[in-house]
Amino acid sequence: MRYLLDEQLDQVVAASMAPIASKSDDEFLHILAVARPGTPDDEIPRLCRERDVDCLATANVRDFGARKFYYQALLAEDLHVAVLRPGKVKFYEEEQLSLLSRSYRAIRSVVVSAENPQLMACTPSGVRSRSIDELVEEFDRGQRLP
Amino acid sequence: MGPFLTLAWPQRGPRIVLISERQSAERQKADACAHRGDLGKDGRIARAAVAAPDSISSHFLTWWPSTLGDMKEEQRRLIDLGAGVFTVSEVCRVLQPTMTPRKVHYWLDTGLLSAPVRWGSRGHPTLLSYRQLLEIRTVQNLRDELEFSLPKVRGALEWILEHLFAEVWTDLHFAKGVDGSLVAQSGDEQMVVPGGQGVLEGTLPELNDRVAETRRAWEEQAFVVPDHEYIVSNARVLAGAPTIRGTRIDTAVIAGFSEADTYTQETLQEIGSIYPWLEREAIVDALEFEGISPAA
Repeated sequence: MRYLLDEQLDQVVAASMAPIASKSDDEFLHILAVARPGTPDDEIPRLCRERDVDCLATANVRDFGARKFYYQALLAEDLHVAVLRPGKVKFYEEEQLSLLSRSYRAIRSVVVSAENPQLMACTPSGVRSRSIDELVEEFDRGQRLP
Repeated sequence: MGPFLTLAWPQRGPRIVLISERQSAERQKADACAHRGDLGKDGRIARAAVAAPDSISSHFLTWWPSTLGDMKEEQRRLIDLGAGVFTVSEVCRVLQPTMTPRKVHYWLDTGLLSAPVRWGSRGHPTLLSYRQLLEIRTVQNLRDELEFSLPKVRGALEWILEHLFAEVWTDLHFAKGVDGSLVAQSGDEQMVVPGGQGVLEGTLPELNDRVAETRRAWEEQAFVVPDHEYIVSNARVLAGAPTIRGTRIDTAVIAGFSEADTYTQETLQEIGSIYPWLEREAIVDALEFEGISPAA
């Protein structure tokens, strides 16, 4: 299983996750290792397909707002999306690594077992996932992801 | 213009309300609602408004079943990747400091802007596209900087916003006709702009500059945020969220490293160590865009 780390995350996080992920034959790639800075959203699905990436790990420090609809569009391209949400801490590389490594097993479990692409909100208190259909229902009910 | 019909389908069952003839702006909003629709969690129409033609019942029966399937698909995937999507508060954040949610909602509600991706309701934000962001920016520029009087030039402005993004008007610019009318030109195309008499000749150079600027931003799907040379809203990067130019790093992430709305040299060094490819000036610009000032 392969994970692609988005540009907001430090490249050192991908390298640091490698020994942990290798135990499960997983791999973490940083987007800057495979593409230029500022890669457009619409090129990411192709990038992931070419490198057999299953899940994009990205970060969002604010409310989801309209970003949720952007994530929904990524899900529609058959890509799992894990969004790291650090809360109020400064998102230094050690915090990024801490949150991702703590969430890794749960993310992996969702990716392995899900029949459809999932949006995962990864916070210090855990990982919550939504399928595209559940997101649609959430939009209709006006609820927010944690 | 005929009367209006509002269909409400809450949990308790359907409700049909006939509304008398309204002003043109309200009709546009109703049309947009009808196009969009709202689906309840059981897949039925929760609320919609349609312009009613001759017979309420015949229109209702023919419109509902054929539209329902399309709307379901539309809601599954509201935007395409690269198209950009914004809430009203996000638009105001990009177009700070003079833009307010109240202005945006007023321009939307009165039909000056094109219909949003999705109208908001309780608990649901109104969603706007990159095109609407540019429409709002254009109105903001003309109103605040060129001091256009919206009531006087509203008709012309509506025409401009409708044609500014069309393929046929790639080189849209304006001139005054002999009778004082406003004439739109692009290549071989030429047209008198309805309601353009109120546009003063002296403002045409600036109007043409603004229109060309917006057109460029539309074609490039990105524009530099005013007064922040390193910050862009790029429809193709993080769906248009303000980012540092040439990266996928949003200004909100950078702001997360500051403390109590101020930054120090140490903050800049820390951010620079995490994102070594960012120029120091770009980091400072991102922080200041987020309203974070240097510590005294």
